[in-house]
Amino acid sequence: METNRADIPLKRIERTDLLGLAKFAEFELEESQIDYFLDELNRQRRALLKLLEARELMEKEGWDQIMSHGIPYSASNRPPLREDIIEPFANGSHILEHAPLTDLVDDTGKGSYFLVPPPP
Amino acid sequence: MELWDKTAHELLKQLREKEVRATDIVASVFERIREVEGKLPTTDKYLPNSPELKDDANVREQARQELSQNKVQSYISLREDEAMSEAEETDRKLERGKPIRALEGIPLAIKDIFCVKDTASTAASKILETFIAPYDATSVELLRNAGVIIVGKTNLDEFTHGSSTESSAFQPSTRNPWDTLRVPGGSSGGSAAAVAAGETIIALGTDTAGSIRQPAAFCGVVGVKPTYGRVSRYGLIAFASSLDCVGPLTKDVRDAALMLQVMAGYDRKDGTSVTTPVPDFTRVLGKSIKGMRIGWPQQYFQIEFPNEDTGEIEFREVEHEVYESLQAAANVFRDAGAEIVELELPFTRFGVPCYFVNSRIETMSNLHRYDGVKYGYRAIGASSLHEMYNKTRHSLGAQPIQRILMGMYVTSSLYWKSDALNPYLRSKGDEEIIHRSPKDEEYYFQKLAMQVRARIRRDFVQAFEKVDCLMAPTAPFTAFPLQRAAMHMPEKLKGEGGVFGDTVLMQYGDCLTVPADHAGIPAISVPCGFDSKGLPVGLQILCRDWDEETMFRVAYAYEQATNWRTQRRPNLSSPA
Repeated sequence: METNRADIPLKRIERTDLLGLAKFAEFELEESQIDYFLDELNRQRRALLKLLEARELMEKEGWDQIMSHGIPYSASNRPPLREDIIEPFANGSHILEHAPLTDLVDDTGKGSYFLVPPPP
Repeated sequence: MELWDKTAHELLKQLREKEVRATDIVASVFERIREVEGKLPTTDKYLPNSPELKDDANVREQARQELSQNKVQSYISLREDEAMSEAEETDRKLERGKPIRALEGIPLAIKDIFCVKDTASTAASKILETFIAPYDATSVELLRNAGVIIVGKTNLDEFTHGSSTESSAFQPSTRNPWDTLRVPGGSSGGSAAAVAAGETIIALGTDTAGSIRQPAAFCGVVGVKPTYGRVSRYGLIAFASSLDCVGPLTKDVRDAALMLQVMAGYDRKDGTSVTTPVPDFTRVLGKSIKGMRIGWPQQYFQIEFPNEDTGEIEFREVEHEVYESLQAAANVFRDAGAEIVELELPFTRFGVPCYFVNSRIETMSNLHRYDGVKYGYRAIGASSLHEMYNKTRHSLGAQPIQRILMGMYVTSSLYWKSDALNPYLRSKGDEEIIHRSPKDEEYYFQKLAMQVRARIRRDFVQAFEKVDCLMAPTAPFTAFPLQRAAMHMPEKLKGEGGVFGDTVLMQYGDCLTVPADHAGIPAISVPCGFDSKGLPVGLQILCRDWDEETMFRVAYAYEQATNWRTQRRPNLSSPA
């Protein structure tokens, strides 16, 4: 079992793990990519060990706050909630014109649905 | 001095005094582009990037010929006809007596991560190569309303995933105008290089871990990351939504202040845009900094960095010449009457590990939308939906794929449902976590990263109780070699290697910029000298939330006391 520090083991990402992740992410990896990604992801997981080091320091400080983005919002600068009013996009035909595949419903050749192959 | 070499505020003065016309300015910029740009890139396979062909004589010769031509290659696309037409319209309006707007007639280059209506907005990716944006990003719309003339879309790392612009699907990628065998930095490398080379007057970029400031430092220009929420992200093709910031790249601090003035402000189309009032950033330029307290954070000079040979993350100092430039900058501040205060920001060193988690999770989510259904590239010949998804997403490059996989990894229960990790958790008394449901477990590292992020911010909040701003290097080193130059012209680089391909090493190059992105605070990079190779060094000024005024004030004071901009220019006339 590979370790960076004696008391913190961390599971190495194996080929089957990588292919599982790729499946979730809807990727079909080439054989030539697999070794590169395995190497790079395993090097990044070594950097993740630093977060466990940070965890120990924060525990000593009693720090347990979390933050999901940079600056905190306050009542004075928080963006107001938008009203629940539908505003159709003004240039919908542009989107359909440039879509990969749509149905054809009128003489202009423009459709109103995106077409895809059948789901499983 | 040529018109392309001037700043926006100099040209605006000349426009007001009718010394120049908008068509003169735009024509000058395009003349410069023809002189230094080189061929526009394509998504065709670029053989000099193939490590397996490193010793192929034909490929090597092709690469050497191209690299010897000293071209910058800032742009993915140009719009000369449209730009000249808009310049003519601007001149007609000015002749009729219309008032000059804030950036009237000023050529603007836009990083190709922004939607610009009716233009290809590619994110430097094959998957969006054919995507024509149906609308303008808010920042683009505001700049257009201020009178800018868009020159073209600049090159970048694919989906902004990188710090050298080399990961772009559009090759050959951008080169540093100061040494065209080196990177311009990234991901806003095309924008930074275009400003430095005179191929635009001002440029638009984005900063997620330093992607404005680092290329600004490498290319010897000014780059600003505003406070998160200051500028709308609507129309910005997202990387990491809690980190992405829109900002200017310019030749001097006044231009940056002018540009941010135009772009900043509340936008109802961006749910993270704040209603904080936008002050007049130019009002503070020229104010004395006497009596100000400027922090010198130890952890920005003694850093944690991967050993290039072993990969072990160890303590080291920033490059000595970078340190010397910052020492000299501190003396400039002292001479101006400011006090330099040493202080500690102990959690700075966890900025990159934290970024490996939160940015990867966010980009995994943001890039799920590239599935070939509604826009962009779709693979042909798929017989099922999943086959279509797989084959379409195969057109993403290695850097985006890698980031998505990492995002899946750190949120995946298969990672930490392991016999290897359980003993560690038991040793920490986290026995109950082992028995929790997978849903709780999946977010372990994400929550830890959010905790570290909050702690990084606390370092800054505590520091700003003692000082008005912080000074630091923008990057621990100056521009490193292009990978293709390191492969095919090693003798010119005296054996210095490239970084591209080593994700950890490349990411740690952002160790001095990413903390500001985590904390959301504003920061600027200004040129502060050159190293012995003639490469620019960047000085970073960081301030508390919403205090871009102090940031501009201090940066301007430094710039006016030193004026690096007029002391040297990139020499693009000689071969490399």
